[in-house]
Amino acid sequence: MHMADQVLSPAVAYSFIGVSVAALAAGAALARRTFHESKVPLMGVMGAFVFAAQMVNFPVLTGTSGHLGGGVLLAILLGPHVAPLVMAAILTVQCLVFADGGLLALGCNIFNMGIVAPYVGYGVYRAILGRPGETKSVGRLYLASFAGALVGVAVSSAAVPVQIALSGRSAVPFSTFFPVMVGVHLLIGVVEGLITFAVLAYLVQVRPDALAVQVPGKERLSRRAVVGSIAVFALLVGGLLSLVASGLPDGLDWIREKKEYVLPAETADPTMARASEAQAKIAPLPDYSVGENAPGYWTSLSGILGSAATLALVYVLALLVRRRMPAHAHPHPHQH
Amino acid sequence: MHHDYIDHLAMGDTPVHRLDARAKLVVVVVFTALIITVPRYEVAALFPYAILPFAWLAFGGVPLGFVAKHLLLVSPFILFVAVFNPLYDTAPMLVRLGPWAFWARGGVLSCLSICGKFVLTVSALVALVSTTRFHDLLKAMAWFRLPRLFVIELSFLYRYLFLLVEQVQRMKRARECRAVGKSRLGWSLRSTGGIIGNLFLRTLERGERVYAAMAARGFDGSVRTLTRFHMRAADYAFLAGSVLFVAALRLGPLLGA
Repeated sequence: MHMADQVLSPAVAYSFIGVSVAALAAGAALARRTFHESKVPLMGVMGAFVFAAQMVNFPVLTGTSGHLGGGVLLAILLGPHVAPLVMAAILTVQCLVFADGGLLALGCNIFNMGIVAPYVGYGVYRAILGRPGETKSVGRLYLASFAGALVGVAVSSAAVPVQIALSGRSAVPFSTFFPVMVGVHLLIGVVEGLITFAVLAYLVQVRPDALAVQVPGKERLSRRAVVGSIAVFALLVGGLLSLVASGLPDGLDWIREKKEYVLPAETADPTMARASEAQAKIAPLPDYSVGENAPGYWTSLSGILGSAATLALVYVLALLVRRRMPAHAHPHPHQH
Repeated sequence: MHHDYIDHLAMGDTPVHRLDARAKLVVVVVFTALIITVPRYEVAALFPYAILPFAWLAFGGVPLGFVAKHLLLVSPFILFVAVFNPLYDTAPMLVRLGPWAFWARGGVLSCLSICGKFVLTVSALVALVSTTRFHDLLKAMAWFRLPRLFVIELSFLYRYLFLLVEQVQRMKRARECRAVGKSRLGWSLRSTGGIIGNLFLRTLERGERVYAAMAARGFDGSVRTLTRFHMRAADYAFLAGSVLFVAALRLGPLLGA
């Protein structure tokens, strides 16, 4: 769910950069109470840990596998104010090194996955678990970590369609995109919840002092409890989704739109129209649409042809320049 | 994962590699910021922008096949969002391209436009990281007043990433060796929890050892490096040339209209 720059309008991208920076600064101030700033290297190393933990795949069904996102687990292990700082670093490296998630979309991505997920997830976890320091049953730890991770992932995924709808770049209506996005992430959240609990269950047994909760002895969760809770959850979600789906006659809307050739969906929606109006005022270079009388249709063709010619020229030039350089200057690819 | 390959490319030595990291960072940010303001149905106007990242990659000796592979790797989200535009945005639009004119759905144009912008901005990012050493990039970010602690955190994340990824691959291999034929849900869940939990404990201890070693050597919360930034004439030319080129492409049609 790493967002790219192209689905966001400048106004949305820049406002979420502002929101994320403010939230991170506030979180850093709170984290400083328990976390000395000279221990920042530790936070960087923990970021690398989450990166590596995301590579451990967990086979769900034959052919498909899920993996950890890590935001909620991190909040449980390191505290809710430290987790956003670590997640922000992870998302920045994913953006800069792997080009996963856009540069200007970084504000939105940090907000969704680095701020919303840890805080919401940790809130749910603590609400179910109760006060730390007391002995808890393993069933309660399971419920708290599973629900925390699930809700954290689902709520953070719900922010994505909101940001995209505010931007008005995608033509998919909000009423369709929102349930699909949240529905898919409820499934992803189940995997996240299971892995989060599995990690905590391991740590409780191996290094109970690394966690703030105590679980009596070698107690193990019965398989029936896990399968039963997932079944109950599936029934709940199924019921909810079918209610939502029947309340929104999307398919019919879509067919009607198609027949009448009405304008893009977001201009028909009054809230979206207002949002894009406001955005047109804020944006430095507002949108304009290509109409029948759009000028310069010859320049667009010459633009394409000219660009192609320039690319070819640049390539030949680059080859010539690089051939003149010593051999060791060329990086050789590894053989993997 | 091929981050070690990116690292390898970034260690190269071409005129592009030698450019000042601050100038390169500014150019990519300006490029991206202007690209996302291009109107949503515009497709043809995107082509000339490709010259900048293309020239950067070509002169920087970055294999284009590698860039293409990278684009595919990070594209699922954008494809998921853009691919439905033609279904929902059915307003017909007249597209005129030189002597040809044809009708297209608005959604097809906006989908192509989103994909085009995606290719442009991602290749600019790939061009940046594969021709700039990561610690120079971090130093440039610190120069632009990004919080010092955040920059230190990023540098440690990057440094330990390679180490921990290799460690986790060893652990996964060990699990596969022991799991011959085993695929029960409960077992795989327990083993996943075990691997990640174990990795967490090892990382926590490693981090504490690293911190103790650094504190013993007098670490006071700031990192000093030997790299000194120096803007040469070539850096100024690159910075001004690129920014003017992109700004002219974006603002030119607006002023003309």
